[in-house]
Amino acid sequence: MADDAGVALNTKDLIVEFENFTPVRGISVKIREGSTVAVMGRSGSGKSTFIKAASGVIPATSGEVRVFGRLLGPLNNRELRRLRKVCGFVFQDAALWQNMSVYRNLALPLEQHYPELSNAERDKKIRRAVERIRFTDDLNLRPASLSAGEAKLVAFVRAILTEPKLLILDEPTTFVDRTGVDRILSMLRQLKDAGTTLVVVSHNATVVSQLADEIIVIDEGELLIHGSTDQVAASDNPVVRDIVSDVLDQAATFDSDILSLLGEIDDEG
Amino acid sequence: MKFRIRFATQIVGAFTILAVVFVIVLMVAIGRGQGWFEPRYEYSTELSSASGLNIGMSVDFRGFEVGRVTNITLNEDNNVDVTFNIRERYIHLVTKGSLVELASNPILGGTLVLHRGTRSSEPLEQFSVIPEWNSDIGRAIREVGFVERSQPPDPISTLLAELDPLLNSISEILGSTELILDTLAGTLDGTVTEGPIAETVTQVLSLLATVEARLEQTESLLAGSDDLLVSVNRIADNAAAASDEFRDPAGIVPRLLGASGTLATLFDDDNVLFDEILDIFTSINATLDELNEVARFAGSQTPQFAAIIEEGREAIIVGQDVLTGLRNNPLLRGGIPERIDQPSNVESFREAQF
Amino acid sequence: MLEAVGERVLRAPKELLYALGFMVEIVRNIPAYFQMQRRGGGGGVLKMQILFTGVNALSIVAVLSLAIGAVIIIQGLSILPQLGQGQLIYTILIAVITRELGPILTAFIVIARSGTAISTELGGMVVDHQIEAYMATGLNPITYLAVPRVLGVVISLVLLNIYFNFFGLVGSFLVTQLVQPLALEEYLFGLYGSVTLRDFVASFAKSIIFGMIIGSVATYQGLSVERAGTEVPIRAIKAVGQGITLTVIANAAITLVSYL
Repeated sequence: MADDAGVALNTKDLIVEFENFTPVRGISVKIREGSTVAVMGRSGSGKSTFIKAASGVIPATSGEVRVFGRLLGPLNNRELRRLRKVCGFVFQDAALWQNMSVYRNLALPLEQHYPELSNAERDKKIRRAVERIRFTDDLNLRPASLSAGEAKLVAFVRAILTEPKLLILDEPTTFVDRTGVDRILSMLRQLKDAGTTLVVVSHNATVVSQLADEIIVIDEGELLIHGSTDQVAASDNPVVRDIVSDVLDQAATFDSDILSLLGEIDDEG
Repeated sequence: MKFRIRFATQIVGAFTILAVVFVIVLMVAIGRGQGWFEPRYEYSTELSSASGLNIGMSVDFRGFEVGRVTNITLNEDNNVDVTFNIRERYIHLVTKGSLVELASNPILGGTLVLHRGTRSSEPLEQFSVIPEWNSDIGRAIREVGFVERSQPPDPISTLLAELDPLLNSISEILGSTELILDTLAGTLDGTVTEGPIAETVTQVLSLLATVEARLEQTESLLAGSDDLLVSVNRIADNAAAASDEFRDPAGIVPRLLGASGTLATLFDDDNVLFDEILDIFTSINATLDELNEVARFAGSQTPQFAAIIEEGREAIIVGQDVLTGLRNNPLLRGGIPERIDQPSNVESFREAQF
Repeated sequence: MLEAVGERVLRAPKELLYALGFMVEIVRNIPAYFQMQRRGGGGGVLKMQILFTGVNALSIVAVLSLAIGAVIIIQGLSILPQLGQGQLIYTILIAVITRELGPILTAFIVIARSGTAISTELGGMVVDHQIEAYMATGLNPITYLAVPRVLGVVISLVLLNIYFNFFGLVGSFLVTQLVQPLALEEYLFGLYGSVTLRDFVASFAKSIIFGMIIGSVATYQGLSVERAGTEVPIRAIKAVGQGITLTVIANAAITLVSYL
């Protein structure tokens, strides 16, 4: 499709149906390359299911999903792997692999997508990333012995280690303490500057207000609005206003502080 | 548990290698025992029937398995081509003059028995045809003594072999008796004016001598045999009694001829003679019934039993026809009814393989 | 009621077809698994599966087969000589231990131990989104999770069957020593007089097919968990039930075919 040029993620009438309910009821969005999009909605509105289906983590019941123009679905193993290399995903509940050490959790995606790396190179990459989030625990621990916040950080590192062009994050900051959130924010900022397309599901006003260029609001499985933060802020739909009000307030409050805050974080990074 | 996980690779390796070693050792042992790795040479033979024969059956020499039957096909002459192989280490047994024999009986199962040729020590070339023991060539080779019988056949096979000529002779007697009675009937009819009665009777008498000899042979064979053979013994006894009747100087035949060589007696003695003849046939019939029972006991796997009984039955039917003819004699009753198609039993009987 | 029965009947072939498709998918993914292994991935799942399914089940298999071999010998030696068929004991040993009980009893043991373990483990992984994480990383869960487990079960089952045979035949020999001493050579001679290549092939074929069935059913049931933790034990029970049913049916079918 010609108009897919410059589009990182494109869904068309996406429907996801489970046995007894339909969390996603026909959502069509286009997310431009390099943009940062916040996906918002009340709990149970279908945001998580939508982004999972949009990234092919779970199959769509009907509709089309294109990631960088490639249609998901008819892909074979190799194509799927190539796609996965450019599309990272951070799960709401971390979803670390319990049967392997934290280190293996980080190493496996690298082995998968960068088989050409030597063991030493891979090890260096992992150590550096872990340092950046100030994860100090023993990497040989099993994920079960980590706290929820630590697990989330590890999951975040796991997703960005492979340097995806499109990173989808499902509530990246829940359970994470303040300093942790700051580190994640700073790293997301860097990714954004490097041209990575970010899709963030978040209730966290700070994250949304500081990062997002665009906002998608989903309610009851349907797309309410998709537009720039300004457009969404100008919406007079009461549901939209209700959902994004926090963010808009925060945006006003923090606007002045943002530059200094970011400068501080960047120094750390 | 910790130990197991730390040395998982070694443990799994040992687990696998031990199992594989066990299988290999077992395979080699079995293979050596059954000669899997030994070259085999192929030969063939021709049998008249494949019954009792199956692929994979062993080829035995003095109770040792020396090879296996590999293929059985029906050829253009309606005989059975049997292909079998012989293990290399036993190849010296297959020489000029070697014969094979299908030893099959319902109780012990079957084998193809190899008999060693004594003509030369040079093994036969692969793919040669080894004649069958009872075939014409086989007989010829046996007669000139170029073959050494490798094992006495088991009692059941022997019994079958002996019963064959015995029943054959009974059948011949019945045939001759029929001829006599036929001639008698013809004479009575007036259709035969000068019947060769005397000649026919002489023939019957010589046949009876053969039967007698056969029976003695069978009886000696059966003497002291186990329970299975008791009933067979009784059959022989019955047959002997029947033949005795024929030989009795005061028996049927002389009386048939009568003192004057006329047929007067046949009508003068209130059917006594007629009844006697009937008795003989009845007793032969009973004999065959018993044989039938033995055959059923032994199972139906051996077609020879069935063949013998069938032949005997047909002979009896001919005899009974004659009796019917006598009973219906125009002078007595009303003539011999026409019986169409009475095939020669003896021919087909001879072909049955033993 | 009527509707419920009808629905079940209509669903059964569909599910069976789906499960068969799953098995085909596993077989299709075996080469991919070995490719991944060559690239250094895989993380020793196969090895651990053999350790848990095979090595750790060895003791129970040994006890079971020793006892069964012994029972066959005792029964055989007390009955067969009365019929004058003492030699048949070897044929019976081979038929029972090698052809029938070896494959099926080891299959039952593996179903009970590893079928449940595999379906519970995979079910748990579904519940806390680990499977989705594999998908997101581009690791096909069939290649990465199901294939090594199924292969592990198949290999373990074949090996356990060999050990079952070993212990069963050795056990029966030891008992023979107690009842009526017999020279080892005579025993072995009798045994390999009655064994044929066909017995081995049938036995191995059974183990491989049973392994495929058990592994596929267990992984299928495990991955069929949708979201709730409560589904996990239900699926584990199903894995056992279906595993046993399908194994027994397959056994009958193979025995039938091998005697045709």
